[in-house]
Amino acid sequence: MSGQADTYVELKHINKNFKNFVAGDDITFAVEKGKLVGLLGPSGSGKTTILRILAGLEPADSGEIFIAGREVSHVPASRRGIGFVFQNYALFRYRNVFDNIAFGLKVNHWKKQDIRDRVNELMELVGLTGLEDRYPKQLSGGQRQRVAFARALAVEPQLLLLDEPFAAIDAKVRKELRLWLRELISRVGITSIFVTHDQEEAVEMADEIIIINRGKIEQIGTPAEVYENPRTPFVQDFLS
Amino acid sequence: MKIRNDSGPVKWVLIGISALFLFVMLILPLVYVVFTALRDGLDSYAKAVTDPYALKAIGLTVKVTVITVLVNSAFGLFAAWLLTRYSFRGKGVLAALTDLPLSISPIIAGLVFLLMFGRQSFLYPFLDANNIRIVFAQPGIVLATIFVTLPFISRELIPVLNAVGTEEEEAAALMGAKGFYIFTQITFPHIRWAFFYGVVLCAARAMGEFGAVSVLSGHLNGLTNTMPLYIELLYQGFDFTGAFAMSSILIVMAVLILILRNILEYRGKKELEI
Repeated sequence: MSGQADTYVELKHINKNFKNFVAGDDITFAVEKGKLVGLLGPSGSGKTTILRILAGLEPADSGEIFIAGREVSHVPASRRGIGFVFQNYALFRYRNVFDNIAFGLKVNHWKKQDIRDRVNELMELVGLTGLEDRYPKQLSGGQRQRVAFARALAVEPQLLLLDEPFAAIDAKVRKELRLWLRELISRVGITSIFVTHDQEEAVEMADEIIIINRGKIEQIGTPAEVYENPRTPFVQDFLS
Repeated sequence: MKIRNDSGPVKWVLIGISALFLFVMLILPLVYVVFTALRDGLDSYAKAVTDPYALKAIGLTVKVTVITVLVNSAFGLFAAWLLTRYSFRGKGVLAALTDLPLSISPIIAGLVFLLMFGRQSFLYPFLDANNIRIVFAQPGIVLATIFVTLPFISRELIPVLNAVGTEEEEAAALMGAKGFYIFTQITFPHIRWAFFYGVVLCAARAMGEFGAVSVLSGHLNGLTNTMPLYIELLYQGFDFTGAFAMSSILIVMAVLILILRNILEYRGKKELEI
């Protein structure tokens, strides 16, 4: 797959070892522009670490990362142009919704009026108009996820990463939110990678699934492909 | 829900014992201090606390406290940040070292500085040649006080920083924010009350420090006598009214700090609930 003209994100031979645990063992994969890719694996498989390495929050021991044709392996997180939605959303607790979303814009010296316009646009996009003055604690899980999503998109990142985006959400509304998020990501048209341990979630949302176990990629393919042709016993076991 | 029914006699006996103990150990001595201070009437009280040497001692204590709080605020913030946000070899040792002043007797702290900067020190010729006076001068008092109160602020900050975690900071960094901006805009609001609380504890201890300061001061009245040292001097000279009058000022300061402390603690708890 690598070397294709529309390859947008590429990881080459990423290795990462913690004290007594391998989080990344020769991880190599590519993501095409505009695709929504799911990193699927059991907990402790290293998928979140791969996401954090991609974002620049964690250094890899070795390997290369390309985003939009640029080698970013040594570019700090603040200059990789990545939007990140944390598992617990990591909303700024002491800032209201408006200031949460506006943070990145302020940091990048946007003009006041432009910030206002952009935040209003995002609030409309995620359907939260009218909640600008609320603090994170005053929001439901679903609303927090929307704020985190809007905040991650604010500075128009090249790539959106989501770490277990539904883990902090009530099981009852999860299904509904999956479709909402999928629809929204395709409307924005941003290349996205999300991490999940839930096969159903991966199948329902992703264009392509990367299955990871013990820091190693087991299989890459569309949901239909990996279901129909599980390549390793692990994949077969994990998906059944 | 009540786990046990303690409204019976057990509760009242416990309350009685605690109250009696606190009364004998705490209230009575404090009342006695105020009583003795005012024994000879308000005039002699006023005279005692407006004595030029008394005013100098008060001034020096305030000065030492302010410098100590400033230095230890900076150190506390740096140390707490380092110990919670980075992992490195020897981190455990460093963490233990910052807490060392809590377990060392203040008099040893005083002696250490006395040996380090005093006449027998290898540094002394250099200090002497440059006319720098540390021992038996105000810099020594400041140094000793800083040493004794070193861990007060970092100790308040470290648990809070650990509990807050790093995700908000990471989120801010991913949006392009730089270290100092992240600290002031994102991290500091979380640790604000803990920090002020640490400052208050540090100030309280700095004001009252006796042992370490006593070793280094040289007891030059009007020059290197802080309030606690001055109180001792008065007491040794059988000036009980004076000693207790000065003590009453320290007590008032302590009570003010206690009130401040409770307000801060309350605010900090309240903010956690938003």
